[in-house]
Amino acid sequence: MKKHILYNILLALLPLNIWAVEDIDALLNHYEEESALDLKTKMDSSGHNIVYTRDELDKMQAHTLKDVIKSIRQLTMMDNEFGATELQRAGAYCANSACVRVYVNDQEMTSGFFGGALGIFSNYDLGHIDHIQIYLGGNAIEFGNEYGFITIKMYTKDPDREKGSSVGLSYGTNDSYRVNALTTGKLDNNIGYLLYASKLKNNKDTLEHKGYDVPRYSDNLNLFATFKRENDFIFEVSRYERNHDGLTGFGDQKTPTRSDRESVYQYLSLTKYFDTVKLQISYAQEELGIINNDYNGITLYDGSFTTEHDIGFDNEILRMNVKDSKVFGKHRFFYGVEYQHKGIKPSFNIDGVNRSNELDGPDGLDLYSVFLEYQYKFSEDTVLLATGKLERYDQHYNDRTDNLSQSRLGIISNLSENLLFKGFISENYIYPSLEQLSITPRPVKGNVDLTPTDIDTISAEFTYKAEQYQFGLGYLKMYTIDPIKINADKTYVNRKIEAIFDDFFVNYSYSFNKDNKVMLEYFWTDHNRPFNQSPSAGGHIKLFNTYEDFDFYTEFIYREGYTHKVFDMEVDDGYDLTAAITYHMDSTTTVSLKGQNLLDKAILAPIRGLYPVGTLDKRVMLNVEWFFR
Amino acid sequence: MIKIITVLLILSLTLNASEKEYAAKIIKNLVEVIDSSNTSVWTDDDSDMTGLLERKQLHVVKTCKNAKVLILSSDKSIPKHCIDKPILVLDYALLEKHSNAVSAFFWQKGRPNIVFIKKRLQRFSISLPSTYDKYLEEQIW
Repeated sequence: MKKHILYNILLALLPLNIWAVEDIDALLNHYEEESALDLKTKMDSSGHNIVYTRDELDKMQAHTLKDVIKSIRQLTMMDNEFGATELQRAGAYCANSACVRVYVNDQEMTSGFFGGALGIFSNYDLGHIDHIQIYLGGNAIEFGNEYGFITIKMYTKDPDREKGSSVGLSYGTNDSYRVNALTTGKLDNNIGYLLYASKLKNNKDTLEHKGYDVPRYSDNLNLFATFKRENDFIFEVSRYERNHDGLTGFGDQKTPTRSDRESVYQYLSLTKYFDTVKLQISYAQEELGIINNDYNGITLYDGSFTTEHDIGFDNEILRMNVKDSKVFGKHRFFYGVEYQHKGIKPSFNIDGVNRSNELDGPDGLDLYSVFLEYQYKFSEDTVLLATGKLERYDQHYNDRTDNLSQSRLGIISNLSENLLFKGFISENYIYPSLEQLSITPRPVKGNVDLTPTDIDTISAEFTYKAEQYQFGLGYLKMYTIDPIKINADKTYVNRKIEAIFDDFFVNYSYSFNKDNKVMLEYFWTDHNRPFNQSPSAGGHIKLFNTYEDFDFYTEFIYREGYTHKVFDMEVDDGYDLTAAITYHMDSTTTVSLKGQNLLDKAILAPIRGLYPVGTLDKRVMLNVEWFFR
Repeated sequence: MIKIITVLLILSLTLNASEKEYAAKIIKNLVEVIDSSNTSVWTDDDSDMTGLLERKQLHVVKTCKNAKVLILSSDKSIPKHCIDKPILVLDYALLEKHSNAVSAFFWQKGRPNIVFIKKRLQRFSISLPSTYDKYLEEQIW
């Protein structure tokens, strides 16, 4: 009798399974969800993850990386005094985002001179990007990179899933525009290709300071091509050009007659698969040009004075790595080796005088690393992991060599059918950049004696997933030991402090159905520093909706105001309201309208010697896109 | 006990649906719209799709001559004696190549799509269930 009851119960459950009763619409939706590329690229073991899916990016009308990173928890997007957009860790501030790592597929977009390259790529056009994975807090040894508190991985669209070409035109506030084109196809030998080109111009309102105009603009060209054969190889070639205002620049009085920055970043990358072994070789060239002329002059680190400061760098970055993974029952080993070379070739024209030979310090860095990650499947629901990485830095100066290591322990466990737990303990460091190590005729003096900044973290995250909603709760404690700062003598030094940050976040999302959902998040940070240098709390509400042929996106981002005591500036609370509507006229034409910072209250960035300025301007853009098979 | 194990086995297989299994299920539905349930199909796909279709209780035959519906995923030409049969294609471009292609299940702009071509359906006297109306197009474009 009991058997019959059990049998009947099980039979009764059958119609609940995915095959039995779904109509074609539901099947197609499930297929799309199961096939999503972000599911294939997500790596739970690589840290605390935020994903922006293809569908979300489309509804958001996310045309540039800025549209995505502006709402990441524990971070605030702010322009620095050189006009570059950076991400500032809650409560803290650094001039360039050395702890932010940016990737396009497997290619790390690292700067030879500055280290982090977000300042160059913050306005990166996303027209060829399928989805974005963001990893926070952990040390993503799996990526084989230098440490990043945040790792941004952009993944390009799959030629096999695009099957056609598209052209887009956008025009909006202050004569800003965007033109982009994408085409995909397949060659006879089963090689799929994707070609993409975009031109983007963003003009902001000109600022005024002490009677002088400080124009604000950016101009970007993005060319990208990928050729791939499944399980065989991927070849990529890319060129990215970015020109933008250098805001106030280095000037003593912040009164630039001219302040411009030009960057060119181009690379070749080849990834080859040999069964489980993955080999990647890439070569990147980076050209940087910084022109800063100032009415009232610029004082260099050695006390000399100039009104025309024109510097440039021709840098190169060579990377080679081999990775493999093996699984023996409950044991998974992931291991590899990597070599990276960064070299700089500077040119300095100060008041028309060539002072390029004044470089004192390393003009190159070689990094050799070997890494191993071991995962043990403790049970069906729990995976334990331990990772280690040994690294050797060779500076091209005074035969200096540093042998360093990074490590991490972690646990990923499904505590119940709905509850996922992730916990990590990491020991990492950030190595000084060539900008910080090398002495050049600039206002800030490099320091060849700098040592790496230790970054130790412990983090935990709980995620409760039900059919329609998800609730998350997380905590991260971070110790930053001997961070590199600029002292009163305008010299980079290791400040002998231990900065401690306690990060908290809570988030919730509810899906009414596949096309309609709401997401809420709030974060705050406590720290032991005497004052905030960026917002220490914030959050957002995001609404994704679809009604018939219309997509809607509404986003409200909050960042808490603060007093920047060093710059002696009050920064008010920030409220960024973004709204977007997309009309799919037919299968070939899409018309969309987007407004960002509609309240004109988005968080401002404090600029030393100036006043708080907007990173996001109030802007409305009209966009039309045509698709061709 | 055997019955219980059988049901458990079915549940475990079905609840762990993969992307390919969903694709197979969609294909099965489309085939059954083109012909009828328990129909026979032939596919040029050499991958594991055949096995998946069979698991979805589609009768997959080895020669197109014995099939009522053809499933094409590539540019390979089909034997002459089969060219008058209705075809489901897995690439939109194949709709143009095969005038008997009545339906397509394909990827485009990063999303899976379904389309039925009205005039071709009429030629084979195929009537669509109303739930498929949104996938009906007058002609290929």
